[in-house]
Amino acid sequence: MHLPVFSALRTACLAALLVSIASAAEVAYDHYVPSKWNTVTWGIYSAEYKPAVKIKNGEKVKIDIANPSGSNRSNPKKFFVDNGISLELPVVQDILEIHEKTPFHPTGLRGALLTGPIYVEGAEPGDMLEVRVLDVRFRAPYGVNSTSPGSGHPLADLVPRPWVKKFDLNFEKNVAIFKEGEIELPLAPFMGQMGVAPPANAGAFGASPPTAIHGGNFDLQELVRGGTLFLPVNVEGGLFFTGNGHALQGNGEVTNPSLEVSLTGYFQFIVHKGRTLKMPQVETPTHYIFFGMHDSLDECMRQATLETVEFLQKRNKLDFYDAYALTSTAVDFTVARALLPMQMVYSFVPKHIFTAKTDYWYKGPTPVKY
Amino acid sequence: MTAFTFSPRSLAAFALLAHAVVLPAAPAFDAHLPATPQTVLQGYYSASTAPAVKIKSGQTVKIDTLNSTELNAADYLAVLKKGGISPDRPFIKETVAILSGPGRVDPSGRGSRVSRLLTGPVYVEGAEPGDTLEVRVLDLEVQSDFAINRTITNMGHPLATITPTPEARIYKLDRAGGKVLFKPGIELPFWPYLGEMGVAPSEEMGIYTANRPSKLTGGSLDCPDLGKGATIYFPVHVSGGLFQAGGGKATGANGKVNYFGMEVPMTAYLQFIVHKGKAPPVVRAENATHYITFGTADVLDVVMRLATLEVVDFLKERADLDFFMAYSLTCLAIDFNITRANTTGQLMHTTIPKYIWAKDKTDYWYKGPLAAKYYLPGSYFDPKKSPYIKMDIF
Repeated sequence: MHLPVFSALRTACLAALLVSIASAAEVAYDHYVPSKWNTVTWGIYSAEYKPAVKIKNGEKVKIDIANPSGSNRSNPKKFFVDNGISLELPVVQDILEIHEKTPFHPTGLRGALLTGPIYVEGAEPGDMLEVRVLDVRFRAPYGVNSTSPGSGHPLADLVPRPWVKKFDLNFEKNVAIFKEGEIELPLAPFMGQMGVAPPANAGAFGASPPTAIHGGNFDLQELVRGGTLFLPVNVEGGLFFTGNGHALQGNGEVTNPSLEVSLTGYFQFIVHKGRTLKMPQVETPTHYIFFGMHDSLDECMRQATLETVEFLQKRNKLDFYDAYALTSTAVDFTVARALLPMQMVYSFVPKHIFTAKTDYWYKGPTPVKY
Repeated sequence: MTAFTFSPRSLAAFALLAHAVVLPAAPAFDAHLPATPQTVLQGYYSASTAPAVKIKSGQTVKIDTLNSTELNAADYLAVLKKGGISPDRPFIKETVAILSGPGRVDPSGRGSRVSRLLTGPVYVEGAEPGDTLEVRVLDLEVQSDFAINRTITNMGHPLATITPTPEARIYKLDRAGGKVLFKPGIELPFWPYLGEMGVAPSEEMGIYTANRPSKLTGGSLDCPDLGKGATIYFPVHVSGGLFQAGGGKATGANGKVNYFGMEVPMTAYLQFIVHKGKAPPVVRAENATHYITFGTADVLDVVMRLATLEVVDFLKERADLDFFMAYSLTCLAIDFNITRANTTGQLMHTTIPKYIWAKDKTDYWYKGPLAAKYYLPGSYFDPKKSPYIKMDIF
């Protein structure tokens, strides 16, 4: 790959930022997918898109994602200029080009910008696609949080007007500056959205609600570097999309968006033949994570409980009562996404309760809080 | 004779010393509240319950609590028998005696005859309505070598509709090793906490039943983050506060989905401090790493909204933020934990990490080890360092 060619002025603009950060070596990868106007969708998971790249089973891909939060299609430069964000940042250039050239989907569905799809050779309907998050890096030193009235979050009726705010990220201290000198939030970046194309006859899925079929908008803060996501495969090649970068997040994600950032993700894709999934699953160095998805949190809770109990019954050959007792006494439940449509509850099964230790691919440090 | 010999007395002293080294000494206490028919009642909080002990603000009480997992005497004995547990053991004997006796049940008649056994009430001198009662959990001791967990039928837990029959199971505890021996291959580290801690409602508020959390009085908080080292702040509704506790758990988790944790009798060392005229409108809590606020209702969506409102209010005040910034911070930094998933009072607690305050590092009284889930030996999270990895960019 080639470095973008900068003018002397552009280089000078970025020099301070780049020099001040001792960047560790990038992880190795086999393919690179940039976030250009023709490798992104405006929040659509669909088999209709031509693959951005075709890879072999087991290969690693570097994927840029652009997060346009804050900027507006009718006057795309305004947000960046108003907030002192350099228009010369490669990701800002990507966003400006995407605003100009990438069409909205004809169905009117629209959502967070997604990069993809990644076609994994050998993946066919009925298989399971394992996606390992090898690394996540920032592409710009700011994040955006916002909220708006009446959009399905817990205090939607109390929000008097739309609100958008840019927050600076300090990579020296590894924090987002929430309130200068007073409140700093440690960075733990992850992709808010990771999913696959739904079955071809299902048409296009919008990015906002997650589903058991395609995954998508998990907003799961545990999918940082070292996390693994297991997704069902609905179409040939799987057709993986990702986007909606978050710098950090609390479980609940109440205002609707999180701290929206542009990221580069490094993923490894592994096909498991003939292992069907009725619901996506997640594994981290410390936990197994199960989902419940529904508009009602009570129903989310029921689904997540059932998923967990069934997993424990199978994994440790427990009967229903022991599995349910273990879930009650060792498994934490949290609201991951308090947002209609399709709220989410997660369960966290800690690995430390199992005396036989299983190997896991990631050995590095993790920002797991639990 | 100069040869060094061990006299029986020096051996005994040595054994005592070794014991003291292995088991940290229990905290000093000013009063002891044993579990007797006079100090234990069945599942209610009332302004008219006579105090079991009167103490001064700042004093520490050693409180023995019992736990029959809400079974009556016959059913409790049957469960013990099935588990091969002798009913003559300490704490078990007292439990059987109280369940077999006339008992002290909710005089309003609304409460159940078989309910959580609560020890108390503790009357703290000087605590008056409008004050805040701070309760510090200095230490907790599991008082049995087994725990009971039950799954009940036909009651509002997530899998109630597919639970065919009620079931009670006994799990062995390794108290010296600090773990529940759940099954071969599965061990749960101890993280003891009291499921039930609350103060009496005022006479006008009526009688509050246990088994249901309240933001006004506490009660069935079932919050694993309120173990050793936690502080709970209760609004005071009657003179003395009238604090009761019970529902001890050797360990438990957020959700408590089958309605029970690893239920055990437990001795608690609690310190009570009165703050005059500083009533928070609702129960709040704190531990070494987090501030904690609650939301409760019967439907989780309502709980979520109430918990969000509460945490936004807390942050507006604590961090001097406007609504938008407080709501934004709630989204970015605060976790919503489902504490109790049961339709007889579902509960969430929000954990607000203290490390986000960059300058304002307030001192906290508890300096000991943290809950297993916050710090696992050999795990990635060293609470002394940032829990987050250093990030690289570009």
